[in-house]
Amino acid sequence: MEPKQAKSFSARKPSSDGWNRLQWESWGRMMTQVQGGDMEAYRRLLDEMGPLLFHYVRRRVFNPEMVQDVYQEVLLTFHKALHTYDPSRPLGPWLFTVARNSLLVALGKNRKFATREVLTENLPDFAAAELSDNDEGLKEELHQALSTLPEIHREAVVLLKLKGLSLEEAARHLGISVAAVKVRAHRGYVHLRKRLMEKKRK
Amino acid sequence: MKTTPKNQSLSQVHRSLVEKLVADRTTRLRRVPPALAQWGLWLALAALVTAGVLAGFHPRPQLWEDLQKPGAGLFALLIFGGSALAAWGAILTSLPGRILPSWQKSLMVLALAGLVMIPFFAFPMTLPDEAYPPGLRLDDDWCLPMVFLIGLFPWAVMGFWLSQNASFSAARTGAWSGASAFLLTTGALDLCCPCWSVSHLLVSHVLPVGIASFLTAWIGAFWFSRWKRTPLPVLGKPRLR
Repeated sequence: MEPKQAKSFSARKPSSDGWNRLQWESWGRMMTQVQGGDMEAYRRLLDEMGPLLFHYVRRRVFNPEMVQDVYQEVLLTFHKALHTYDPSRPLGPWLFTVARNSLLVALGKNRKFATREVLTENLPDFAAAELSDNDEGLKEELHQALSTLPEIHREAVVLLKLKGLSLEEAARHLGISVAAVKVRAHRGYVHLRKRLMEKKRK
Repeated sequence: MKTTPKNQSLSQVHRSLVEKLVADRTTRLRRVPPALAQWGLWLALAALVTAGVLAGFHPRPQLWEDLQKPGAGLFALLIFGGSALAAWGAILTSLPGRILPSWQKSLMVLALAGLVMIPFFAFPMTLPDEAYPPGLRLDDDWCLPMVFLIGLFPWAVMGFWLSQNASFSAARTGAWSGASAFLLTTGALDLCCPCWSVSHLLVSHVLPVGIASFLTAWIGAFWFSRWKRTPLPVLGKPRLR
Protein backbone atom coordinates (compact mmCIF):
# COMPACT_ATOMS: atom_id res chain seq x y z
CA MET A 1 0.00 0.00 0.00
CA GLU A 2 1.30 3.44 -0.91
CA PRO A 3 2.17 5.43 2.22
CA LYS A 4 0.16 8.54 2.88
CA GLN A 5 2.13 11.71 2.17
CA ALA A 6 2.52 13.99 5.17
CA LYS A 7 1.39 17.41 3.97
CA SER A 8 3.05 20.56 5.25
CA PHE A 9 3.97 18.70 8.39
CA SER A 10 5.46 21.48 10.48
CA ALA A 11 2.55 23.81 9.66
CA ARG A 12 0.05 21.32 11.02
CA LYS A 13 -0.71 22.23 14.61
CA PRO A 14 -2.43 19.75 16.91
CA SER A 15 -6.04 20.81 17.19
CA SER A 16 -7.18 21.81 20.65
CA ASP A 17 -9.67 18.96 20.84
CA GLY A 18 -7.32 16.46 19.19
CA TRP A 19 -5.64 15.23 22.33
CA ASN A 20 -8.65 14.15 24.26
CA ARG A 21 -9.21 10.88 26.01
CA LEU A 22 -10.58 9.14 22.92
CA GLN A 23 -7.53 10.10 20.93
CA TRP A 24 -5.22 8.68 23.59
CA GLU A 25 -7.28 5.50 23.80
CA SER A 26 -7.13 5.11 20.05
CA TRP A 27 -3.36 5.54 20.11
CA GLY A 28 -3.12 3.08 22.96
CA ARG A 29 -4.96 0.52 20.83
CA MET A 30 -2.68 1.31 17.89
CA MET A 31 0.36 0.78 20.10
CA THR A 32 -0.95 -2.67 20.97
CA GLN A 33 -1.45 -3.41 17.27
CA VAL A 34 2.09 -2.21 16.55
CA GLN A 35 3.47 -4.47 19.26
CA GLY A 36 1.58 -7.27 17.54
CA GLY A 37 3.41 -6.53 14.29
CA ASP A 38 0.86 -4.35 12.41
CA MET A 39 3.03 -2.09 10.25
CA GLU A 40 0.17 -0.07 8.78
CA ALA A 41 -0.95 0.85 12.30
CA TYR A 42 2.63 1.88 13.06
CA ARG A 43 2.79 4.19 10.05
CA ARG A 44 -0.57 5.72 10.99
CA LEU A 45 0.47 6.11 14.61
CA LEU A 46 3.73 7.86 13.72
CA ASP A 47 1.91 10.18 11.34
CA GLU A 48 -0.73 11.03 13.92
CA MET A 49 1.68 11.43 16.82
CA GLY A 50 4.28 13.28 14.75
CA PRO A 51 2.70 16.75 15.07
CA LEU A 52 2.20 16.33 18.82
CA LEU A 53 5.81 15.30 19.35
CA PHE A 54 7.08 17.97 16.99
CA HIS A 55 5.23 20.70 18.85
CA TYR A 56 6.40 19.26 22.16
CA VAL A 57 9.98 19.59 20.89
CA ARG A 58 9.48 23.02 19.31
CA ARG A 59 8.11 24.48 22.54
CA ARG A 60 11.25 23.38 24.39
CA VAL A 61 14.03 23.85 21.87
CA PHE A 62 14.67 27.50 21.10
CA ASN A 63 17.23 27.03 18.34
CA PRO A 64 15.19 26.40 15.15
CA GLU A 65 18.10 24.57 13.52
CA MET A 66 18.11 22.01 16.29
CA VAL A 67 14.38 21.30 16.35
CA GLN A 68 14.54 18.86 13.45
CA ASP A 69 17.48 16.93 14.91
CA VAL A 70 15.86 16.67 18.30
CA TYR A 71 12.56 15.60 16.73
CA GLN A 72 14.35 12.78 14.90
CA GLU A 73 16.04 11.71 18.12
CA VAL A 74 12.66 11.64 19.88
CA LEU A 75 11.12 9.44 17.16
CA LEU A 76 14.10 7.09 17.20
CA THR A 77 13.94 6.70 20.97
CA PHE A 78 10.19 6.15 20.75
CA HIS A 79 10.88 3.40 18.23
CA LYS A 80 13.49 1.72 20.42
CA ALA A 81 11.39 1.87 23.59
CA LEU A 82 8.19 0.64 21.94
CA HIS A 83 8.44 -2.82 23.52
CA THR A 84 8.22 -1.38 27.04
CA TYR A 85 4.71 0.07 26.65
CA ASP A 86 2.26 -1.75 28.87
CA PRO A 87 -1.23 -1.69 27.25
CA SER A 88 -2.92 -1.90 30.65
CA ARG A 89 -1.51 1.54 31.56
CA PRO A 90 -2.23 4.97 30.03
CA LEU A 91 -0.08 5.92 27.05
CA GLY A 92 0.44 9.60 27.95
CA PRO A 93 2.96 9.24 30.82
CA TRP A 94 4.90 6.65 28.83
CA LEU A 95 5.05 8.79 25.70
CA PHE A 96 6.04 12.00 27.46
CA THR A 97 8.70 10.25 29.56
CA VAL A 98 10.22 8.96 26.33
CA ALA A 99 9.91 12.38 24.66
CA ARG A 100 11.29 14.36 27.59
CA ASN A 101 14.27 12.09 28.16
CA SER A 102 15.25 11.76 24.52
CA LEU A 103 14.94 15.53 24.18
CA LEU A 104 17.33 16.04 27.09
CA VAL A 105 19.78 13.52 25.63
CA ALA A 106 19.63 15.15 22.18
CA LEU A 107 20.12 18.63 23.64
CA GLY A 108 23.09 17.39 25.64
CA LYS A 109 24.66 15.87 22.52
CA ASN A 110 24.07 19.00 20.48
CA ARG A 111 25.58 21.18 23.20
CA LYS A 112 28.65 18.94 23.27
CA PHE A 113 29.09 19.25 19.50
CA ALA A 114 28.42 22.97 19.50
CA THR A 115 31.32 23.57 21.88
CA ARG A 116 33.71 21.81 19.49
CA GLU A 117 32.65 22.76 15.99
CA VAL A 118 32.92 26.02 14.09
CA LEU A 119 30.28 26.51 11.40
CA THR A 120 31.29 28.39 8.26
CA GLU A 121 29.08 29.10 5.28
CA ASN A 122 31.97 29.45 2.82
CA LEU A 123 35.45 28.11 3.15
CA PRO A 124 38.26 30.60 2.43
CA ASP A 125 39.76 29.92 -1.01
CA PHE A 126 43.38 31.07 -0.49
CA ALA A 127 44.61 27.51 -0.06
CA ALA A 128 43.18 26.60 -3.49
CA ALA A 129 44.82 29.65 -5.08
CA GLU A 130 48.19 28.68 -3.70
CA LEU A 131 47.90 25.22 -5.15
CA SER A 132 46.23 26.10 -8.46
CA ASP A 133 49.38 25.33 -10.49
CA ASN A 134 49.46 21.87 -9.12
CA ASP A 135 45.78 20.99 -9.51
CA GLU A 136 46.14 17.57 -11.12
CA GLY A 137 48.65 16.36 -8.57
CA LEU A 138 46.47 17.61 -5.75
CA LYS A 139 43.40 15.91 -7.20
CA GLU A 140 45.29 12.68 -7.43
CA GLU A 141 46.55 12.99 -3.86
CA LEU A 142 43.09 13.87 -2.61
CA HIS A 143 41.53 10.88 -4.35
CA GLN A 144 44.15 8.60 -2.87
CA ALA A 145 43.61 10.05 0.59
CA LEU A 146 39.83 9.78 0.14
CA SER A 147 40.11 6.11 -0.69
CA THR A 148 41.77 5.49 2.68
CA LEU A 149 38.83 6.99 4.59
CA PRO A 150 36.36 4.70 6.35
CA GLU A 151 33.22 4.25 4.26
CA ILE A 152 30.87 6.35 6.43
CA HIS A 153 33.28 9.29 6.59
CA ARG A 154 34.03 9.14 2.86
CA GLU A 155 30.31 9.19 2.01
CA ALA A 156 29.80 12.36 4.05
CA VAL A 157 32.83 14.14 2.55
CA VAL A 158 31.92 13.13 -1.02
CA LEU A 159 28.30 14.23 -0.68
CA LEU A 160 29.16 17.58 0.89
CA LYS A 161 32.34 18.56 -0.92
CA LEU A 162 32.34 16.73 -4.24
CA LYS A 163 28.63 16.50 -5.02
CA GLY A 164 27.91 19.83 -3.34
CA LEU A 165 24.83 18.74 -1.40
CA SER A 166 23.62 20.80 1.53
CA LEU A 167 23.84 19.34 5.04
CA GLU A 168 20.10 18.64 5.03
CA GLU A 169 20.24 16.92 1.65
CA ALA A 170 23.20 14.79 2.68
CA ALA A 171 21.42 13.88 5.91
CA ARG A 172 18.34 12.82 3.98
CA HIS A 173 20.42 10.86 1.52
CA LEU A 174 22.21 8.96 4.27
CA GLY A 175 19.14 8.62 6.49
CA ILE A 176 20.84 10.23 9.48
CA SER A 177 20.58 13.56 11.29
CA VAL A 178 22.31 16.76 10.18
CA ALA A 179 24.45 16.69 13.33
CA ALA A 180 25.60 13.17 12.46
CA VAL A 181 26.57 14.30 8.94
CA LYS A 182 28.61 17.14 10.42
CA VAL A 183 30.39 14.78 12.76
CA ARG A 184 31.16 12.25 10.01
CA ALA A 185 32.37 14.95 7.66
CA HIS A 186 34.50 16.53 10.38
CA ARG A 187 36.14 13.19 11.14
CA GLY A 188 36.69 12.71 7.44
CA TYR A 189 38.42 16.11 7.15
CA VAL A 190 40.66 15.34 10.13
CA HIS A 191 41.61 12.02 8.57
CA LEU A 192 42.24 13.63 5.18
CA ARG A 193 44.39 16.38 6.66
CA LYS A 194 46.45 13.79 8.52
CA ARG A 195 46.99 11.76 5.36
CA LEU A 196 47.95 14.77 3.26
CA MET A 197 50.35 16.07 5.92
CA GLU A 198 52.01 12.66 6.12
CA LYS A 199 52.44 12.65 2.37
CA LYS A 200 53.87 16.17 2.39
CA ARG A 201 56.41 15.20 5.04
CA LYS A 202 57.53 12.21 2.98
CA MET B 1 25.30 26.87 0.79
CA LYS B 2 21.93 25.80 -0.58
CA THR B 3 19.38 24.90 2.06
CA THR B 4 16.00 23.33 1.58
CA PRO B 5 12.90 25.20 2.82
CA LYS B 6 12.23 24.28 6.43
CA ASN B 7 8.62 23.09 6.07
CA GLN B 8 9.24 20.90 3.08
CA SER B 9 12.43 19.54 4.59
CA LEU B 10 10.73 18.56 7.84
CA SER B 11 7.88 16.76 6.05
CA GLN B 12 10.39 14.86 3.96
CA VAL B 13 12.58 14.04 6.93
CA HIS B 14 9.53 12.84 8.84
CA ARG B 15 8.35 10.72 5.91
CA SER B 16 11.77 9.19 5.31
CA LEU B 17 12.27 8.46 9.00
CA VAL B 18 8.80 6.94 9.35
CA GLU B 19 9.42 4.64 6.39
CA LYS B 20 12.73 3.52 7.89
CA LEU B 21 11.23 2.93 11.30
CA VAL B 22 8.35 0.97 9.80
CA ALA B 23 10.78 -1.10 7.74
CA ASP B 24 12.73 -1.84 10.92
CA ARG B 25 9.63 -3.21 12.68
CA THR B 26 8.91 -6.09 10.37
CA THR B 27 8.34 -8.63 13.08
CA ARG B 28 6.17 -8.92 16.16
CA LEU B 29 7.71 -7.12 19.15
CA ARG B 30 8.69 -9.01 22.27
CA ARG B 31 6.89 -6.91 24.82
CA VAL B 32 8.55 -6.79 28.24
CA PRO B 33 6.47 -8.24 31.11
CA PRO B 34 4.59 -5.74 33.30
CA ALA B 35 6.40 -4.36 36.38
CA LEU B 36 4.50 -6.58 38.79
CA ALA B 37 5.34 -9.73 36.81
CA GLN B 38 9.01 -8.74 36.81
CA TRP B 39 8.85 -8.24 40.55
CA GLY B 40 7.28 -11.68 40.88
CA LEU B 41 10.23 -13.04 38.93
CA TRP B 42 12.54 -11.32 41.39
CA LEU B 43 10.69 -12.92 44.33
CA ALA B 44 11.24 -16.35 42.74
CA LEU B 45 14.92 -15.51 42.25
CA ALA B 46 15.16 -14.34 45.87
CA ALA B 47 13.63 -17.60 47.10
CA LEU B 48 16.06 -19.58 44.96
CA VAL B 49 19.13 -17.66 46.19
CA THR B 50 18.05 -17.87 49.84
CA ALA B 51 17.34 -21.59 49.55
CA GLY B 52 20.70 -22.12 47.81
CA VAL B 53 22.63 -20.24 50.48
CA LEU B 54 20.81 -22.03 53.32
CA ALA B 55 21.44 -25.40 51.67
CA GLY B 56 25.08 -24.59 51.02
CA PHE B 57 26.07 -23.06 54.35
CA HIS B 58 23.40 -24.45 56.78
CA PRO B 59 21.43 -22.04 58.97
CA ARG B 60 22.93 -21.09 62.34
CA PRO B 61 21.63 -23.11 65.33
CA GLN B 62 18.60 -21.64 67.11
CA LEU B 63 18.01 -19.38 64.14
CA TRP B 64 14.27 -19.29 64.70
CA GLU B 65 14.69 -18.42 68.43
CA ASP B 66 17.21 -15.69 67.54
CA LEU B 67 14.93 -14.20 64.90
CA GLN B 68 12.14 -13.91 67.44
CA LYS B 69 14.22 -11.40 69.40
CA PRO B 70 12.94 -7.97 68.31
CA GLY B 71 16.31 -6.50 67.25
CA ALA B 72 17.50 -9.48 65.21
CA GLY B 73 14.04 -10.03 63.71
CA LEU B 74 13.74 -6.40 62.69
CA PHE B 75 17.25 -6.44 61.22
CA ALA B 76 16.43 -9.48 59.05
CA LEU B 77 13.09 -7.97 58.07
CA LEU B 78 14.75 -4.73 57.00
CA ILE B 79 17.33 -6.59 54.93
CA PHE B 80 14.79 -8.70 53.03
CA GLY B 81 12.17 -5.92 52.90
CA GLY B 82 14.80 -3.42 51.73
CA SER B 83 15.94 -5.85 49.07
CA ALA B 84 12.39 -6.37 47.78
CA LEU B 85 11.78 -2.63 47.76
CA ALA B 86 15.06 -1.94 45.96
CA ALA B 87 14.12 -4.55 43.33
CA TRP B 88 10.81 -2.74 42.81
CA GLY B 89 12.72 0.54 42.47
CA ALA B 90 15.09 -0.99 39.92
CA ILE B 91 12.19 -2.30 37.85
CA LEU B 92 10.24 0.98 37.92
CA THR B 93 13.26 3.10 37.01
CA SER B 94 13.88 0.88 34.00
CA LEU B 95 10.37 1.34 32.57
CA PRO B 96 9.39 4.64 30.92
CA GLY B 97 6.41 6.37 32.50
CA ARG B 98 6.75 4.60 35.85
CA ILE B 99 7.84 6.54 38.94
CA LEU B 100 8.78 5.19 42.34
CA PRO B 101 6.31 6.86 44.76
CA SER B 102 7.95 9.09 47.34
CA TRP B 103 6.60 7.02 50.25
CA GLN B 104 8.47 4.02 48.85
CA LYS B 105 11.64 6.08 48.53
CA SER B 106 11.23 7.23 52.14
CA LEU B 107 10.66 3.65 53.25
CA MET B 108 13.85 2.60 51.48
CA VAL B 109 15.87 5.36 53.16
CA LEU B 110 14.40 4.34 56.53
CA ALA B 111 15.28 0.69 55.86
CA LEU B 112 18.87 1.59 54.99
CA ALA B 113 19.19 3.83 58.04
CA GLY B 114 17.71 1.03 60.14
CA LEU B 115 20.27 -1.44 58.81
CA VAL B 116 23.08 0.76 60.08
CA MET B 117 21.43 1.77 63.36
CA ILE B 118 19.78 -1.42 64.58
CA PRO B 119 22.96 -3.48 65.12
CA PHE B 120 24.11 -0.93 67.72
CA PHE B 121 21.01 -1.61 69.80
CA ALA B 122 20.37 -5.27 69.08
CA PHE B 123 23.78 -6.98 68.99
CA PRO B 124 26.96 -7.02 71.13
CA MET B 125 29.94 -5.06 69.82
CA THR B 126 32.11 -8.19 69.50
CA LEU B 127 31.67 -11.88 70.29
CA PRO B 128 34.11 -13.99 72.33
CA ASP B 129 35.39 -17.12 70.53
CA GLU B 130 33.45 -19.46 72.82
CA ALA B 131 30.18 -17.74 71.87
CA TYR B 132 30.41 -19.07 68.32
CA PRO B 133 27.95 -21.89 67.75
CA PRO B 134 29.84 -25.08 66.86
CA GLY B 135 29.49 -27.01 63.61
CA LEU B 136 28.94 -24.10 61.22
CA ARG B 137 30.21 -24.13 57.68
CA LEU B 138 30.41 -20.37 57.28
CA ASP B 139 33.35 -18.74 58.99
CA ASP B 140 32.92 -15.05 59.83
CA ASP B 141 36.04 -14.16 57.81
CA TRP B 142 34.26 -15.38 54.71
CA CYS B 143 31.10 -13.31 54.97
CA LEU B 144 32.49 -10.27 53.16
CA PRO B 145 33.88 -12.04 50.07
CA MET B 146 30.83 -14.33 50.00
CA VAL B 147 28.45 -11.35 49.86
CA PHE B 148 30.32 -10.05 46.81
CA LEU B 149 30.71 -13.43 45.18
CA ILE B 150 27.21 -14.83 45.65
CA GLY B 151 25.55 -11.44 45.12
CA LEU B 152 26.91 -11.32 41.60
CA PHE B 153 24.58 -14.14 40.56
CA PRO B 154 21.22 -12.50 41.39
CA TRP B 155 22.54 -9.16 40.13
CA ALA B 156 23.61 -10.62 36.79
CA VAL B 157 20.25 -12.39 36.35
CA MET B 158 18.33 -9.28 37.33
CA GLY B 159 20.60 -7.09 35.21
CA PHE B 160 19.96 -9.27 32.20
CA TRP B 161 16.22 -8.80 32.32
CA LEU B 162 16.44 -5.13 33.33
CA SER B 163 18.63 -4.51 30.30
CA GLN B 164 15.70 -5.68 28.14
CA ASN B 165 13.66 -2.76 29.52
CA ALA B 166 14.36 0.83 28.55
CA SER B 167 15.91 2.73 31.43
CA PHE B 168 16.28 6.48 31.13
CA SER B 169 18.18 6.68 34.42
CA ALA B 170 20.56 3.79 33.94
CA ALA B 171 22.84 4.58 36.89
CA ARG B 172 19.87 4.69 39.23
CA THR B 173 18.60 1.38 37.88
CA GLY B 174 22.09 -0.02 38.44
CA ALA B 175 22.21 1.23 42.02
CA TRP B 176 18.74 -0.09 42.90
CA SER B 177 19.42 -3.48 41.31
CA GLY B 178 22.79 -3.76 43.08
CA ALA B 179 21.27 -2.83 46.43
CA SER B 180 18.54 -5.40 45.87
CA ALA B 181 20.78 -8.29 44.82
CA PHE B 182 23.45 -7.74 47.45
CA LEU B 183 20.96 -7.06 50.26
CA LEU B 184 19.30 -10.33 49.36
CA THR B 185 22.63 -12.15 49.51
CA THR B 186 23.67 -10.52 52.74
CA GLY B 187 20.28 -11.40 54.22
CA ALA B 188 20.60 -15.03 53.22
CA LEU B 189 24.17 -15.20 54.57
CA ASP B 190 23.03 -13.48 57.74
CA LEU B 191 20.85 -16.50 58.47
CA CYS B 192 23.93 -18.74 58.29
CA CYS B 193 26.49 -16.39 59.83
CA PRO B 194 27.92 -17.47 63.20
CA CYS B 195 28.84 -13.96 64.27
CA TRP B 196 26.02 -11.56 65.01
CA SER B 197 28.06 -8.69 66.38
CA VAL B 198 27.91 -4.98 65.53
CA SER B 199 31.36 -4.73 63.96
CA HIS B 200 30.95 -7.89 61.91
CA LEU B 201 27.41 -7.11 60.68
CA LEU B 202 28.34 -3.58 59.69
CA VAL B 203 31.71 -4.33 58.11
CA SER B 204 31.06 -7.71 56.51
CA HIS B 205 27.32 -7.56 55.78
CA VAL B 206 26.16 -3.95 55.37
CA LEU B 207 29.30 -2.27 54.02
CA PRO B 208 29.67 -4.61 50.99
CA VAL B 209 26.11 -3.77 50.01
CA GLY B 210 27.04 -0.08 49.94
CA ILE B 211 30.20 -0.71 47.93
CA ALA B 212 28.45 -3.08 45.53
CA SER B 213 25.58 -0.61 44.98
CA PHE B 214 28.09 2.08 44.06
CA LEU B 215 29.86 -0.24 41.62
CA THR B 216 26.63 -1.50 40.09
CA ALA B 217 25.47 2.10 39.60
CA TRP B 218 28.64 2.72 37.66
CA ILE B 219 28.39 -0.47 35.57
CA GLY B 220 24.63 -0.01 35.19
CA ALA B 221 25.14 3.44 33.68
CA PHE B 222 26.66 1.66 30.66
CA TRP B 223 24.75 -1.59 30.70
CA PHE B 224 21.22 -0.30 31.16
CA SER B 225 21.63 2.51 28.65
CA ARG B 226 22.82 0.14 25.93
CA TRP B 227 19.36 -0.05 24.39
CA LYS B 228 19.66 3.61 23.36
CA ARG B 229 22.91 2.98 21.51
CA THR B 230 21.68 -0.09 19.63
CA PRO B 231 21.77 0.71 15.90
CA LEU B 232 18.68 0.13 13.81
CA PRO B 233 19.41 -2.33 10.99
CA VAL B 234 17.87 -0.04 8.38
CA LEU B 235 19.78 3.00 9.56
CA GLY B 236 23.15 1.29 9.81
CA LYS B 237 25.66 2.51 12.37
CA PRO B 238 24.52 4.26 15.56
CA ARG B 239 23.78 7.94 15.08
CA LEU B 240 26.14 10.67 16.26
CA ARG B 241 29.03 8.27 16.93
